[in-house]
Amino acid sequence: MKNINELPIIDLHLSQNEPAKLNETQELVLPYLTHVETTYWIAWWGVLAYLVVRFILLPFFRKVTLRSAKRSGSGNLDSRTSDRVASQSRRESRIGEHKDRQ
Amino acid sequence: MAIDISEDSDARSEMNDALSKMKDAGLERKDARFEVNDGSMSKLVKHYRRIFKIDEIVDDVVLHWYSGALLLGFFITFNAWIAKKSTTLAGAEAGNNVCWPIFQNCRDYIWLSGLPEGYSQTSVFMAMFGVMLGCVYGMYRKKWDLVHFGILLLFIVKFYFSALTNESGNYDYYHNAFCIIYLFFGHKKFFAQLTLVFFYFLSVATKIHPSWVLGQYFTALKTGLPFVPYGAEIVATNFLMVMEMVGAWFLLSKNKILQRSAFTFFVIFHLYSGILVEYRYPATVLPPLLILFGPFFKKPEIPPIDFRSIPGWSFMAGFLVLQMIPHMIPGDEKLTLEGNFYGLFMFEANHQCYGKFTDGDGKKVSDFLSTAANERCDPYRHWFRAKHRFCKNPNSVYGFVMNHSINGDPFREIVNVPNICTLTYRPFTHNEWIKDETEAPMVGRPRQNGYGFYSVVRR
Repeated sequence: MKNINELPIIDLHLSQNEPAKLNETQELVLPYLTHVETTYWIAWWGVLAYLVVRFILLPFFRKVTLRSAKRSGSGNLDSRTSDRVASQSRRESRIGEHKDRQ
Repeated sequence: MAIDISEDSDARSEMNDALSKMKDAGLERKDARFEVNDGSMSKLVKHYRRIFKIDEIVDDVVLHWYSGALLLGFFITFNAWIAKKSTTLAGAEAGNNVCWPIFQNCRDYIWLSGLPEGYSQTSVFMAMFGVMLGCVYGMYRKKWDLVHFGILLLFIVKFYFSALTNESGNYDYYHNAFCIIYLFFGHKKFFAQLTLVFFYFLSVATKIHPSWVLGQYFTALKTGLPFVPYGAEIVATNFLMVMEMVGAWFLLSKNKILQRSAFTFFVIFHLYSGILVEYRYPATVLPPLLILFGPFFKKPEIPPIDFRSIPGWSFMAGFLVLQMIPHMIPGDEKLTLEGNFYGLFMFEANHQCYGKFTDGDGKKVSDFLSTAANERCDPYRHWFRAKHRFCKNPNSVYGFVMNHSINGDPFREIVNVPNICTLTYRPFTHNEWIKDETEAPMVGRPRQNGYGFYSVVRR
């Protein structure tokens, strides 16, 4: 492979411009470039996986579980579901009382 | 002072009664109006409203404003396209048109003539101007089915013109996605918000490259990164990448401080980016950003998990697949440009190139050079144009050499073929006649270049 510095400079009507080269900060990071890129990819997929699981898959499975529990009868509802149903009925009765008072 | 409490409470209850009667009367009038509308509404309109979920638009002021943002996008796009040569018969014959790699016979579908050869293209665009005015009137009268239908017409026309040439920029990718969600999907507001945030996130996938990780895109520019001192480009580019990857999601946060901070950051980012990309990109993306996440944003929508949301989620998955296509094709897609246009590709690399076409005797018949960082030097485009120009005779023989540099790295001879007329281009896999960074020999070093389309020369 040729040494880059031995290559001729191609002007393309840009002879007044400096040849493109890396600055000191870039030279400093260059040896770790592959690691940095890999870290970015891991972070990128990690963020995506977290969001998909947290906001799509978990609510979806919760919904499916809830629906199947409802279908198989209230006796099979888990404690969280029955709590939710109870609090909902309490809220509705409170609203009813409030309306009656009005 | 003595106050007669009983009299006061009677007066208050009378007033309350009167107020509730007035309210009831108002509601009855409103109901009656809807009944009249429902009565006279044809079945077709009812079906139209149901199929395209117009009820969501009717009920939501954010989607009212969003319709306006889409219209602005059409106005800006059609203003740029009305005089476009590449979508006219004469333009195609002159070789101005390059079809998409997945639709290489697009020229068969060009039938319009532009000025000065004919009036049909400008007539179509002026008819669309009329449709835009109709949409504005529909907004004024709150006829959201009319507005929706107008935007549907505009989108169909835009789709036709987009299919005829692969010159579309990433702002069209944004605008088309916004339109599709508004026109066809349920949970319009949620998916419009998600699309914008997801696009920021997806754009990082194209930036994981020395162009941005080292900031080479900007250090290879003579003028550098605007207002950022020399040597600090790497900090700015990596900060933006982190913001797009993580910070963008806070646009959907219920924490007001985080949400407003992310919103402010992206507003400033779009205003800043306009220094390089000019008006079109900020004008396409900023209005939806302001509408979806600005003063109207109260609390995040709960991600919908229902039957109505299936098209929206599939659409998001589709964007992810499109963004991954270039990464699945061997070679650096920034150098070979293979698969580069399926996802977001803005500022993916700083390009420079030069090359030539030769006849069977090795004599130069045409050459080209580009030092514009944003002119993507796609070998497919050069090949497509030359093939349609030179290979009309089946026995023609024309050679093609192309040298391409990205981000100030050495020029590499990515194409050197004896005959373009026998070549084909495969859109989803690596084409052997285009050499990647492992095969293409280095031929020279570039100088720093500039941003803008003005340094492109073709002969």
